[in-house]
Amino acid sequence: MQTPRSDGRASDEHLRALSVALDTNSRASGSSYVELGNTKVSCAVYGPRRPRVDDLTVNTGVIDVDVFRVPFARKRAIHVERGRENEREKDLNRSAADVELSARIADVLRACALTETFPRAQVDVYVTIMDSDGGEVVASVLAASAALARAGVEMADLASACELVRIGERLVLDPTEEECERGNGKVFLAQMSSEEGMVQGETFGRWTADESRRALEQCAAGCNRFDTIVREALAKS
Amino acid sequence: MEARAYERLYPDEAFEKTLETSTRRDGRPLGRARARACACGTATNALGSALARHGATTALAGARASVATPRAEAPNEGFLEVRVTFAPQASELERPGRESDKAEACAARVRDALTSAEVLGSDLSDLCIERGVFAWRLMLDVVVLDDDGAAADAALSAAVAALRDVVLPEATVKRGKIVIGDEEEGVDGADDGMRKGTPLNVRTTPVCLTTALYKEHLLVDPTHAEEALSECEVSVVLTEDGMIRGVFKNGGEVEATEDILMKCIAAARLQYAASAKVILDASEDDDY
Repeated sequence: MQTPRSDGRASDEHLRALSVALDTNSRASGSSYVELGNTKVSCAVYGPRRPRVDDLTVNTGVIDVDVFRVPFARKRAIHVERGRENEREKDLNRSAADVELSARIADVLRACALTETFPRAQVDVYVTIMDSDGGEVVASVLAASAALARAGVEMADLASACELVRIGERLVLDPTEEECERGNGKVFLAQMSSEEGMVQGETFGRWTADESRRALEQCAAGCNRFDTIVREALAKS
Repeated sequence: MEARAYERLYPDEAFEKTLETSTRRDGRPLGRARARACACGTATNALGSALARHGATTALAGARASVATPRAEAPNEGFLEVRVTFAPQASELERPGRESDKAEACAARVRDALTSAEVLGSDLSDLCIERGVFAWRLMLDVVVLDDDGAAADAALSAAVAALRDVVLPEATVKRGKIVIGDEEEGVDGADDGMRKGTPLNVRTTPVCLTTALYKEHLLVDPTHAEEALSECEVSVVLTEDGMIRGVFKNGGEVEATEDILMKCIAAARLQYAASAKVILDASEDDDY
């Protein structure tokens, strides 16, 4: 039985509205702003420029990714202070989750970009998460690959991504944060849509072979739909 | 293309040449500020948020809150903390994970402006829940997303608009413990799009305008390129009653004469009404 979703979507297979704006930053080589439902991500690409660490043994270009989360892009805006703990001090340090997110986006971009076209130069990809409601990785990958393309970095293909969460027996595509919390299994897929190449796939939780195949197929379909929207935006600009 | 090469090789000469015609590189006359825009409610997880744009310079502000114990010397006052960060994407000069002096200077400017303009009244008693026991600690974070000059101006606009957007949840004290509105009602009550609680009473609307001094020229609301070339900057903060709530001039290579300062203040006066209207309109649009 299909139940409508908490954010008003009619079906488990529906994606949230995706909007992509390009050249949003005045000083970057390429930049983008992506809204996926309530999740808002902006990305700016600087370079190619002289690398911070010049590694003579490597003859390809370097892609560096850094994710910055604005302090108020977290679920709980209110908390009660206990003892002397200071929330401010804590969020000054980058959280481990954001470092991991940077690494994941970097992996996807390195697979798509032709790094041999800018040997021993560095491209910095700065992602800012402005608001989060699930699908941060998805929005970040879409924003980063669009900004990279806009910056004129040669790429094998654009990267697109999609997430899916299993809630009970249901497979829910492009989940919100609330749906992610209710879920008991998650699949993430990043792919190059026109090459049909899977770039990064991750599953969390217990999946049977059949179920995970179905989940990946649905993710791939989601990727393709997101990819079309990003491509349209790039073609227009 | 040749003009751009000339600009890069001889930035000073190129700059002077453009100034001779009394227009700037982006086509503005010397005394005109860039178009300002503002929108509230951009971050759904914050208690109040706003995005402000001055030309290409963009700042995003959001407020969070926690319940704290008031200071002993001011038992009926809460806390207002302001922090300004430059997102790594703000400019090619930013390095992730490093707090820059610029961000701290910018934060000080915003903090001073909010305090001396008495945005929340003469003290912070609006943020008190129970005298001496519980008070709100309002944490206002401003993130500069794009630094194309005069970032402090945009940061202040975003900060003020975000404060106007803040709705503090209902907080009651039961048997010496604090209960915040949503916790009792559960998730159902919190997610109907309405924010329950009391809006913050923001009394004034401070607006900051920066003017760069370059030789004998005054450049109102400089872009990043103009900032880099100019010798010093003067920022003026005004409120609706026409009072000056702060004049800042950072070191710089040239001393500003009284005459120059007066001109900067006049420029800020001229610009005030339009800038304040942008902020007020943004927070009124958001009322539902």
